[in-house]
Amino acid sequence: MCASWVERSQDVAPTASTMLNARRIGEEAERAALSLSLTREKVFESYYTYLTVDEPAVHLMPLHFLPHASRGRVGEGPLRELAVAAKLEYARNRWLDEMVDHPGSAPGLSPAHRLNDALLELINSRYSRVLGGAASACFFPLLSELHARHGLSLILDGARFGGFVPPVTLEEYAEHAMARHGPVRAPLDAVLLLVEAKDSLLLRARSSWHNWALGVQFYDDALDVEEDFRNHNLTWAVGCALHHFHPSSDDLADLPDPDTFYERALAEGVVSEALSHAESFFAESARLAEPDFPSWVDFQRACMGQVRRLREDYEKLVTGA
Amino acid sequence: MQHENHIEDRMENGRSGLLARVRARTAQEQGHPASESTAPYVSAALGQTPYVAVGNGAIVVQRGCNNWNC
Repeated sequence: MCASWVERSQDVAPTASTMLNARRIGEEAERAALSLSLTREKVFESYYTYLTVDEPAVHLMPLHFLPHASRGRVGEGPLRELAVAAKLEYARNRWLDEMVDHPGSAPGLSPAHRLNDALLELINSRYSRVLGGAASACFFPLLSELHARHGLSLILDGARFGGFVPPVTLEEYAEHAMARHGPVRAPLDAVLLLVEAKDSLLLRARSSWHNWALGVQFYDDALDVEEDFRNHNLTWAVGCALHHFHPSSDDLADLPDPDTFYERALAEGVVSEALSHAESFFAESARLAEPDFPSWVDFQRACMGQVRRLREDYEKLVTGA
Repeated sequence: MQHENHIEDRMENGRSGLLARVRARTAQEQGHPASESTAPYVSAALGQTPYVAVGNGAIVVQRGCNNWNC
């Protein structure tokens, strides 16, 4: 793709590339956001809430996806810049999600636009500091594409369902979720462009990352199926459970009460199936990450174990009821 | 009639009992450390463990919450 254009970072400190302190990443991201002039506005509080949520997998993403063979070629400085960009973008993504999922949380138009503009400038400046001119020419159009796809995914989620549930296949839901997660993946692209990774490795890394994100999505959907139903968030799990009530029609004039819905989702195995899908996505992520991203592989295996335990516990509770 | 009501009560209690147990397990997953057999790394990644050192010198530090997210 564009990897051969990339100018190598001058900030090379071989031994530092194995160190990335997630706490410092979080603190630096907070300091960067707090430097904005919008911190006294209510809209900032909503964003900042997500910034203070620790997500080590996001904080350490540039380190996880620095190819094993390239460790020592990139110093801590560029990795830290990308990790801070990842954190700022992750929080922005969650903040936008909240406004779609909970429309009442949206602030006035101008404050939201001003904060979004300021955050994008902050995030892009971090990428610019790390990527050279040629790499920027490759990276920023890619980032724009991720943002554009994310924009459509938000519009579709905002459409919701009101008495009508469109059939959502697993493949359709996964495609939609990938668009919604997309911009959070950008630091992965940046670090691989930085080390001039081959196209095949870049594609494999992206696929591995998206499989992880899908695993987390299905894990969260399984945990939140009751809440998502109450909020009319049409996840794959909610759609599957609803079709057990209305198998021959999409007309949902009579939605079940939440307890009946949740009980049916458990009894019909929808929650368990969502967790099985999560396990499969984590397994595929691990497979794709071998052998270049060993710490990511370990992480996926740990995710699989945790999700499997949750699924087995749910199944024991349901069969023992 | 009394017998039928008794059966209905048992079914209702069984149902609410199941939901209560499942909700408790969900709350455990969301709010408390996972079992000891869970690798600390994934626990941290899912927001459950305070301090973890992983391979290659990477350090995962889960910070405390502040007054906005607690």
